[in-house]
Amino acid sequence: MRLVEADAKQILHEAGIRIPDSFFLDREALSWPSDRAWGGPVMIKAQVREGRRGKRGLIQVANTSDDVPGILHVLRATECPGFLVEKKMEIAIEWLVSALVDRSVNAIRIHLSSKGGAEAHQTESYAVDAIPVERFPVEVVEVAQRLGRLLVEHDALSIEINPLAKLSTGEWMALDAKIELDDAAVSRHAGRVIRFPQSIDPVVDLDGDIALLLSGGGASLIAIDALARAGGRAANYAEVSGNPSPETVAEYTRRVLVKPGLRGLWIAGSHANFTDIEATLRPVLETAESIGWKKPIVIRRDGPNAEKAKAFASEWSRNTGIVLRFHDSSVSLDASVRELMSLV
Amino acid sequence: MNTMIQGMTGKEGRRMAAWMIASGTDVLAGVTPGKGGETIEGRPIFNTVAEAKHTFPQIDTTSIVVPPLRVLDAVQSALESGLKYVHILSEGVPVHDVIRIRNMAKAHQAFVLGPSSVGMMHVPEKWRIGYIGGEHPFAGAVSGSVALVSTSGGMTNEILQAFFRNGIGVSVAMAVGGDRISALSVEEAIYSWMDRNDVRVVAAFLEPGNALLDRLVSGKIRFRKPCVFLVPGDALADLPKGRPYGHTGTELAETAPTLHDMRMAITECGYPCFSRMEDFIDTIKSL
Repeated sequence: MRLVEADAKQILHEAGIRIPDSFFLDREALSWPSDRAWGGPVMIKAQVREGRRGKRGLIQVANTSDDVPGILHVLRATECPGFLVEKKMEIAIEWLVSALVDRSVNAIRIHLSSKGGAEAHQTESYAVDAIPVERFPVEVVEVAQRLGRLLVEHDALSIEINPLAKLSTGEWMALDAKIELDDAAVSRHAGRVIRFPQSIDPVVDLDGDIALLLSGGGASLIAIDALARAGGRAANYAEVSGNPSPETVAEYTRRVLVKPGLRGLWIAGSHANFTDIEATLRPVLETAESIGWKKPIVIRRDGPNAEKAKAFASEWSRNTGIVLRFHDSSVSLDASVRELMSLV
Repeated sequence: MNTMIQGMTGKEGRRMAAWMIASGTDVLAGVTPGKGGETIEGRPIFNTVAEAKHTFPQIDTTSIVVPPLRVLDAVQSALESGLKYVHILSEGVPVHDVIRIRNMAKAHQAFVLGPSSVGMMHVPEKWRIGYIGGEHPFAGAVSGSVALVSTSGGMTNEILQAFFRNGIGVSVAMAVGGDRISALSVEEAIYSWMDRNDVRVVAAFLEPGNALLDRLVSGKIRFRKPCVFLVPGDALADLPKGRPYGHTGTELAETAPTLHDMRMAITECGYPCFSRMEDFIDTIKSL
């Protein structure tokens, strides 16, 4: 789960890391709140989860309160929960400090760069207890070590402060923060407050007209590649593996098939180890029938109970009159989708 | 291979026990806290690993099918009782727990596979841990000297079946799981096979985002046996970034070099790297 800046900064604040004075404005806000005194220039920052906000114009400076309505009007065009309004600080130097689970070494690493800010890229990487302290300002090392501890305490995948700024006053402050939490561990932190939790939609809407229900994380990638090679355009990405409940499968099917303008459905996956092919196919076809689906369906599935699945699908096709082909794993994913494209 | 199953009384545990036993693996016992005294598939259930090991001292292997937040404890119990081979089927294990599991495995000099792993099998020796290969893993299996490693459980079986259909003989096949961090990485699996007489060629399936890809491109890797890679996902470039697809370990960075360029660079380093199954199979067949 990627946190918005406001939630990330709250975690840093609670851990004793200094952040600018700020308040949160809802997306519908039209101007500076009437019950707040104007205290000087502020940064108004759209709370989106993706990076490079500066380059995308999603961070603006308001020098006077008159600037605020115009800025909010521009920022409102972006989908986000709202805006973080922060006192503008005078920056002397900017560092990048982050702690992350580093896949290249399968361990926690600290990344440091003295060239923080929008153009930061070259970082040095250290284990948390192996930072050469004599090479860096003591404040940077302290924050780095604190981030290393926070990473573990919060079951986070990464915590980045960029910039960790030394202000003209000499104070050090975290001016931006990005935190990614491990979804698998969220239930271990029931007491933690995340104001704007992120839920990953398992179905991704795309521009094409071939509906997809894919199984297998790896096979789903081969499948979308195969579709592209066959000249088809995916209407969505949706992947579910293992033995999901019939209700889950029905829900996915409904979501994927209600999109207007679809020309066909490809149900595709690898040769499964333990997925019950019949039990997971049945709710798809039953749901398709119940919502009035009429377009061709090609199924490419194999594994436990695949024969029963094929028998069920054939009978279903006879009863509904819907064009259907069932391919086992002797038919490659490429060949299977080519047949679908010939039917639509 | 004398095994136990931790979590054997659950739905997946029971099915895995039945399949493993049917394919000839010696499942001697199961462990589920609170269910000691029950019997599943004719095997006794114990409350703890220690009790099971006490009754069956020959047990050296375990398959773990417990809820994800209990996996760390289950692995610890297994290693502390002296088991040397741990397979984790469970998915959704917190990443920091997997880091702890890696450290424990190292401290106990034990082999831990997973999480999210459908298991491991050896064709000539006819044993199988987990679900890998399906209900009848050895039906139609061709024995040989190709070793297969995959981050995707489904693709492990897909590739195995394609190998067998093409007469490509396999010695060992292993699913390491598609998590962000695994107890055994693809790279570690491949290195472990470099000294084995029963492995002549390595076939590997990886997803974009896997750390091995960058390391292969960098030229820092030296595998002493031929290695052929299948890495799909060109169409991912058109999908929204900043979220995983399929597995938690499959995520494109916001600024990633194209997969096509990575494959070319990896192939130039001496490791043929393909996006299409057909090319992957044809190359391995020719080796």
